[in-house]
Amino acid sequence: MSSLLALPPLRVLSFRAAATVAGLCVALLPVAALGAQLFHSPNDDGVPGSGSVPTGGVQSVFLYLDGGPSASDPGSACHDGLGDEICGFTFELTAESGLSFASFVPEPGADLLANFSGGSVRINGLDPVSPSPGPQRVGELQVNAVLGGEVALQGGETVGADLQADTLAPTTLISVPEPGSIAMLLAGSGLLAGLATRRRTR
Amino acid sequence: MSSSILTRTRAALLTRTRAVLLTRTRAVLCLLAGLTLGAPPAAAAPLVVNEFNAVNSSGFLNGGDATTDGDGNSIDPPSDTYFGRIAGNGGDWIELVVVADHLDIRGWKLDICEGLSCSDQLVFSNHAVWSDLRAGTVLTIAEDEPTDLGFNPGGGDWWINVRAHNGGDGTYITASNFPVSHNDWNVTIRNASDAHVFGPLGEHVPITPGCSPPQDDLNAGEIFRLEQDPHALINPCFPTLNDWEDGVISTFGEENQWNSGFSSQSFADLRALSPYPDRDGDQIPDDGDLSGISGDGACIGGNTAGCDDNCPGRQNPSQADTGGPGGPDGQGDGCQCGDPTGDDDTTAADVTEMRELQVGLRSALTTPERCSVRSNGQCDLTDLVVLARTLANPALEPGLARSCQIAQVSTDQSSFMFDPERLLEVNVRIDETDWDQLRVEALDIFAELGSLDCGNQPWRDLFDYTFFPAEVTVDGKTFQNVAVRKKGFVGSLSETMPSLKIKFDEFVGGQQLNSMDRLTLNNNNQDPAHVKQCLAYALMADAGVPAPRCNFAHLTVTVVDGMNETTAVDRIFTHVESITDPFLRRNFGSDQDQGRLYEGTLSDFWPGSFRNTIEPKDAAAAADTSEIDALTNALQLPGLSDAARLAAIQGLVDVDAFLTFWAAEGLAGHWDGYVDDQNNFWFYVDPADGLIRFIPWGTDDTFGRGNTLPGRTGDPNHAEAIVPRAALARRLYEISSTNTLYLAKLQDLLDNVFSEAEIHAEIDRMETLITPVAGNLTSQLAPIRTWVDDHRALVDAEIASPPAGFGGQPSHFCFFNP
Repeated sequence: MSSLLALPPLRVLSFRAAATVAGLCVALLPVAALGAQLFHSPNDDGVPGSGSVPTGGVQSVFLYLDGGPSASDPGSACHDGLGDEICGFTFELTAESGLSFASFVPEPGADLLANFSGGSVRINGLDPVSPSPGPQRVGELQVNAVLGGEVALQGGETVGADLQADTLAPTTLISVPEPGSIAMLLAGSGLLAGLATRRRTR
Repeated sequence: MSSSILTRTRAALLTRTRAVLLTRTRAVLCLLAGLTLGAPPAAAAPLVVNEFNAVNSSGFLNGGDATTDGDGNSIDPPSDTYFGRIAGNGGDWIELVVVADHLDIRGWKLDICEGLSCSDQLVFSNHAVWSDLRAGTVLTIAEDEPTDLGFNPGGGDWWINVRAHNGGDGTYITASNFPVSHNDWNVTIRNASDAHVFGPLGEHVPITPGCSPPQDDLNAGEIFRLEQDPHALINPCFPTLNDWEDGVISTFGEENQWNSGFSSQSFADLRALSPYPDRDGDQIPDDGDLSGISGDGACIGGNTAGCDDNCPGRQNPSQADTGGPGGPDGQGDGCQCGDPTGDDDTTAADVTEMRELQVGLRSALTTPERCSVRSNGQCDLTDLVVLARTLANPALEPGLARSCQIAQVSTDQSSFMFDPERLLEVNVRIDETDWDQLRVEALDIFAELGSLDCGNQPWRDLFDYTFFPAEVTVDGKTFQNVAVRKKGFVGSLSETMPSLKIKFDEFVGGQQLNSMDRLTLNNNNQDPAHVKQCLAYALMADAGVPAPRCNFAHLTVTVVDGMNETTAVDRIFTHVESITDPFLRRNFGSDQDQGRLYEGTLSDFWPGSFRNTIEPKDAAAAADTSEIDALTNALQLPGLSDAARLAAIQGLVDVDAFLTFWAAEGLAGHWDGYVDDQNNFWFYVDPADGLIRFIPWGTDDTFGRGNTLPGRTGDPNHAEAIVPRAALARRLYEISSTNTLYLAKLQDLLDNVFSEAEIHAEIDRMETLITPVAGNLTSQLAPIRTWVDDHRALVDAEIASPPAGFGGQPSHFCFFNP
């Protein structure tokens, strides 16, 4: 029924490739061009983080959904609004490569319905009358983080202020990297930063 | 100045002379037209003359004076329903009725004649009022009555009156006085191109071959009127059918009355011919407010008149509207959008159910067809958002769609007619003479079987039954001029309760009932329990066979002899889907004119009489019988290897579909079908791939006895289900690979389709439905129930030890022409 159900299963990328692609994307693409984004905010403040959590024990993944910063004219959101508000969404996360889900704590006050299990969580949210633009907290997903484990976004859908549907493309939302990979990622990031500084200096 | 006067005088003379010439010319043309053409043969008349006033200007209806008529009757002497009893009965007036919907009469003409001399013509102007007249509109043209365009069909006012007189301005019609009288007066309607539309009607119109108009001798105290409901085939050429008569009950602007007021017209059927008719047949028109848009004025608050059906795809005569967000919303119960829970209301529970589907807490909605709230047929997250928003505050836009998916009535409404839960109420009202002819028509089958020509042609060609006109009412909806004929061949023939074919569009082009142009009503002559046909078709459909849909009808036949009416038939008939376009479209995705359709009655793909009796159902099918001839050849050709024969068959027949058909016939005990009896089957050359596909027919002797025909009952090979007598089955049974496939197919259907519990439940359901009409059926149903219980073991045994095949080909039924 839902397009969510028709999405193909995620083909999980290797961590190195994913890290490299993610690093490049973060470096090269403006956030606004990506449409609605589901992300992990390590500090639980609505700011996206690296997309990884440390290995070992139960780790918190703070889920945020952001359609963009623009607000619709008053009363027009979820009708014919031109802003970035999200009026409804559904997505599915799965635990991959040994990682498992411990619990999901929905954002208090949010209108959410979740179908939770240790291996997946499917969440529907509605805010059809007066949604706000910008990052909106969905909730806290606690995961049993094992080395190499991943949280995959299998896909999803959002309905915007103009009642048009948009898709959340499958991707790796969270990874639990090996220390060497972290070093490589840091080195790559440093290299990119150095190149940027050098270009700016010239 | 003088020059100017001369010019004007000359112009006036010229005009007058031209007018005289034109008048004379018109009179001559009219005369010629009358002499050479007369009234044309029956053609759909979009506008008919319904009544005109012949009372002279100082006279009264039925003579006499203001208080007493010519018969001395002073108590309620005849009076017009509009004018009352006045001198002249309203003066010169003509009443017309619009028969075709959305009729444009701009520029149309009324040729007004006395005898053969047509001296006056009234022309409708180009005013917009004439551009889109609705069927059922009454249009009067009166010399003395003021124009009244207060026409409001939605409010029940279907009458337009225009005044035609010398003082008029020609806005609507020619500004001219016109005569209407009893002195050989008649009128003809022509369109803007002068083409004949209707008439002449009145007195002393020419009688020509094929046209014998009414010749009532009107007197100065009478009106002339149509004494039946106006319809498209009304034609004054046939007075005995159409009944224009003189009389003294005058009804200016209203339905005619006659027979001392006991009989009257009804325009209800005409007024149902709106662009959005009553598709679900619940007597609430889809466009009841006649706005031209279905659903824009939905019935609310229990109102059922002058409003649009609030659920046009589902019968809801009460127009109940339990609620939407904030209360009743014009979406009738059963059509409520945003009601996936199916409780006829839109509540938070509907949001919850949709959300549960979104997150996988449920696999399906209770009523998914009521989910979509955006009229796009989809049900997705956006619908959920809109529904949640509307429930949170119904005043917020956008609200729910006005018309939910279930209210999106498809072009084909025939499924409604075959709802197995329905018992159709069908009444055929027919003239006694016609009925007495209809019911006894039949081919003398035994004489035919003994004739030397037997088997040279399709049986149907020998005894095409005659269509007779009748009034047919189905579930309260009445149709005029419906064609009714007998149907049947041998076992179903009856002179007292004949099976009937009812064609709505045979005499009235385009007339339909819920997308259907015909009904097939079978008399269950061989099935006193009535249930066998529907049971068999349902079982076959479950097996995957393209089988006709089937339910029941309570048929009454009212025979009319003058004032006397008698009920000739009052019993349960089986309503079986005809093998026409809706069936072909549903099963094969194509229409008859795209493929080729044939019926087999004592027929087979075998040389001689079997082959010859295959009946092509149209000219295209008759013109190209290549598949039949090729299959006949492939089946009878001696010496072919199994592989070669099978390859040839597979190039002509969907073999897998045939194996299913074959197994299903055996499973239903259809001994009188193709495989066992080479009878009662149709086949379609499917345009999708050019292959032959079989369609079952005539299943009224299933679920019971086996083949009872001499030479067949005693057939040592005759078995319960496996009787490969027909040529195609016989050959496929001989071929090892298809033999195995067939037995596996039969086993599969026995295991997975033939469910004793489900069949018993279906029998129980049918019994409950029809018993109020048929009476107690316990004893009639008992052997069927027993047969169902015993059948599995017998078929299992046959599959375990299959009977031998048949040798040779059985002789045809023809005595001398096998």
